[in-house]
Amino acid sequence: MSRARPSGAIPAHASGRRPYSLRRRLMVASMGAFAVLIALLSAGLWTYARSSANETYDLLLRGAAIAILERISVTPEGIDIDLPPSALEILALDQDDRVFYRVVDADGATLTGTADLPSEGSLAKSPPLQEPVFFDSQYSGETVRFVVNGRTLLSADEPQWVGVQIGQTRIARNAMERDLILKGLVPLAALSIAGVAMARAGIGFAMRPLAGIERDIRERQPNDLKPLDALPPREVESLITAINGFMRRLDLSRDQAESFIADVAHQMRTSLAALYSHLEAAGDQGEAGTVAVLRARDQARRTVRLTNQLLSHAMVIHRADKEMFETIDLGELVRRLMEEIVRDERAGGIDFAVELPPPPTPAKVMGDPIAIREALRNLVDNAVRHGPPDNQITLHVVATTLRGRPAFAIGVEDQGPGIADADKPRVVERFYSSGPGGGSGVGLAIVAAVAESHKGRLDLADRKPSGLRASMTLPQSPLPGGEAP
Amino acid sequence: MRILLVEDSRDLSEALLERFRGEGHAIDLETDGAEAEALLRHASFDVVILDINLPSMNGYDVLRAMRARGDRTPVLVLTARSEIDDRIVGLDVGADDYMVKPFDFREISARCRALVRRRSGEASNVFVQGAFEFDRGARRALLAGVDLELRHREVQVLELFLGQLGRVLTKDEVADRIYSFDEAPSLNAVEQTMTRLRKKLDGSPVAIRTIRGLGYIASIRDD
Repeated sequence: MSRARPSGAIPAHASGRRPYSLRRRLMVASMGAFAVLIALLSAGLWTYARSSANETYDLLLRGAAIAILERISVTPEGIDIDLPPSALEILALDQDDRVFYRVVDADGATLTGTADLPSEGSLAKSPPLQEPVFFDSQYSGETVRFVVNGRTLLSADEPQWVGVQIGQTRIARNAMERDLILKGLVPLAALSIAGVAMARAGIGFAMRPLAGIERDIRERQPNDLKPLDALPPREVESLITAINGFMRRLDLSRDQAESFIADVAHQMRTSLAALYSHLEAAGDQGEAGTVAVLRARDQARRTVRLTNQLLSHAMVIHRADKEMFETIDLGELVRRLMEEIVRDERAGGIDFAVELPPPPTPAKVMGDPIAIREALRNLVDNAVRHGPPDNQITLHVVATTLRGRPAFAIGVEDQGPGIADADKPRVVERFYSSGPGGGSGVGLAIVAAVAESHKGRLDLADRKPSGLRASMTLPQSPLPGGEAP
Repeated sequence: MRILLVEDSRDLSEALLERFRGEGHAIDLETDGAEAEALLRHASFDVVILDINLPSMNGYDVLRAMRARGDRTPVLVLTARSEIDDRIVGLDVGADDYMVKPFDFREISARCRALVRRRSGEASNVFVQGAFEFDRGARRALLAGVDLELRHREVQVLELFLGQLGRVLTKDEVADRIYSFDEAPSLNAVEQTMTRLRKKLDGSPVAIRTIRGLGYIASIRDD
C-alpha cells in the first residue's frame, strides 16, 4: 500500500531525543578502550618497575650482608666482628639514603649495631635461616628495606649461628621505580594519543560515503525521486535499499496523486462543459428553453454528486494516512446509516432489511467510523441506483475470519443486475462505471480504498437469481503497525 | 416564517435570500458567528439556518450557546460533504436537521417548513401536516377531517414516532414505551399494532417504514 507522507521537514529530534552522533559514539568507545588498556599496562608497568627496583637494590643489600657475614669469625674469646667499611659504603652510594645494621646471635641478642631494628619475626625461625630474607618495615619514621641473613660458624666445641640485619631507606629504589614507570608510560601515552587520532581519522574516512549520500539527497530537485546511485558500503547497504524503496513508493504515490488530479480535472471539465452547453442552449431558445434548463439542472446535480464523491474519495484516502482508528459498534453505525438513507432516499418502494449478529456477539471493530460509514453509504447508493424500484436491499454484518483472524463482513445485497464477471475487477477502478444506472464511477473505488486502509478485503459476488452482494471484510483490529504488503 | 440565515458565502446567501423572499418569508442575514449569537440573544425567529464555518465563532458554538440558554428555536445546519462527521456532532449538539451543501432550494424550503410545523405542533399539542392532523390532547388523528379511529396503543405508537421523526426505533424500544411493567410486552403485539397503524395511516403524509432486522422509522412526506 502506498502511503505518501507529507514531504515537509520533520525535525529529527521532534520526539525530544537528541540525535546521537556516530562519530562521538565511536570516539567514546575507542577512547574508553584505550583508557582500559593504559590502566592495565600501567598496573603491569608499576609491578614490573617495583620488582626490578627491588631486585637491583636487594642484590646490593644481600652483597653487603654477605660481606659482613664473611668477616665474622669465631675466636676462642668469642665472636669476632670485623666490620668491612666497603660493605656499607656500597649502600650509601645514594646520598639521601640512610643505612642501619646490626649483628645478632642465635638468641636474637644484638652483638653490635642498632639494637632496635624491627625483625618482623625473621630471627625467631628455627632452624635458623641461612638464606637472606627481605622485607619492608617502618623504622624511624620511614619505610626501610631490610635484609636478614645468617651463617653458621663452625668452631671448636659447637656450631654457632650469627645473623646480620641491614636496612636501607627506599629513596633510591623509589626513584628508580618512578623512573622506570615514567620511561614506560611516556611512549604508552604517545601511542594512545596516536591511536585515538588515527581512530578519529578512520571514523571520518569510514563516514565519508554517508556524507556523499547526504549531499546527493540534499542537492536534489524536490521532484527528483531517482534511486540513489551511490555505491554504498556493505554496512549501510540495507539503509540505502530502504531509502530507495521509500523513494520508489513516494514516486508511485506521487504518480497516483498526479493521475488522480488529472482524472478529476478531466471529469469535472467534461461535466461542467455539458452543464454550460445545456445552459447556453436554454439561453438561445428563450422562453422555450425550459427543457434545456431541466437538463442543465440534472447535469448540475450529477456534477455535484461527482464532486462530492471525489471529495469523499480524497477524504477517505487522507484519513487512511492518519489512521484515525477507534472502536466502532457496527450495529449503531448501521442504525444511523439507515436513518440517513431513509431520510435522503428518493424511491420509497425499496424494502430495507438489516442483518446483525445475534445479541451476545458484540459487532465491534477497530476502524475509522467516518470511512466505514462512507464506504457502506456508497454500497447502499449503488444498490439503490442499479436496482429495480421495488429493490430489496439488505445490510449485513456477519462474524467471520480473515486470514485466520476474527473479522466482520459488512456489506449490502441487492436485487439489481449484478456485475458481469469481466467487469468485476474494473469497477473498483476510479471512473469506471458499468450498467445503465452508471454513476460517477467513484463509489466502489472509495469502498475498495476503505477496505484496503483497514487491511480488509472487498468482495463482489453475484446472487441467485439476480443481484449483487458487495461485502467488505474488516479484521476486528488491524495489526498494530500493519503487515508489510 | 421569520428566518435567520447565518452564512458567510455571499453567492449562496444571496440566492437563498432571494428565493425565501420570493416565497414571501421574512429572512435576515448574518455573516458573522459572534454577531449572529448576539442577535439570537435578543430577537426570536421561527427557524435558524446555520452554516458551520463562520468567521469569529463557528456554527456549533452558536448552536451550543443557544441550547445552553434554553433557546429551542429549530436549527437547520448547513455542512459540506468533506465535513461529513460534522453532521453527527451537529445533531448531538442540538441541531434539528442538517443539509449537505450543495442542496436543492426546494428541499431546504421544505425542511424549514417541516421544522417550523413540528415545533408549532409541539407547542399547540396539535400536529398538522397537509390533510393530516394529530391532536395529542384529544388523542385522536384525523385525515381530511375524518377520524382515523386509532386505538389506545396506536395513539401511543403514533405519538412516539411523531416525536422521533427520522430516528430508528427498535421493536424493543417501541414495546418499552407502550407497555407498562405489569403488561407482558409481546413483540408480536407490537408488530400487529404497527401493521394496523400503518394501514390506518395509508394515504397520509406520515409514513412508518419497517427495516427488517432493525426496527421502524417514521418520516413525513412533504408535498
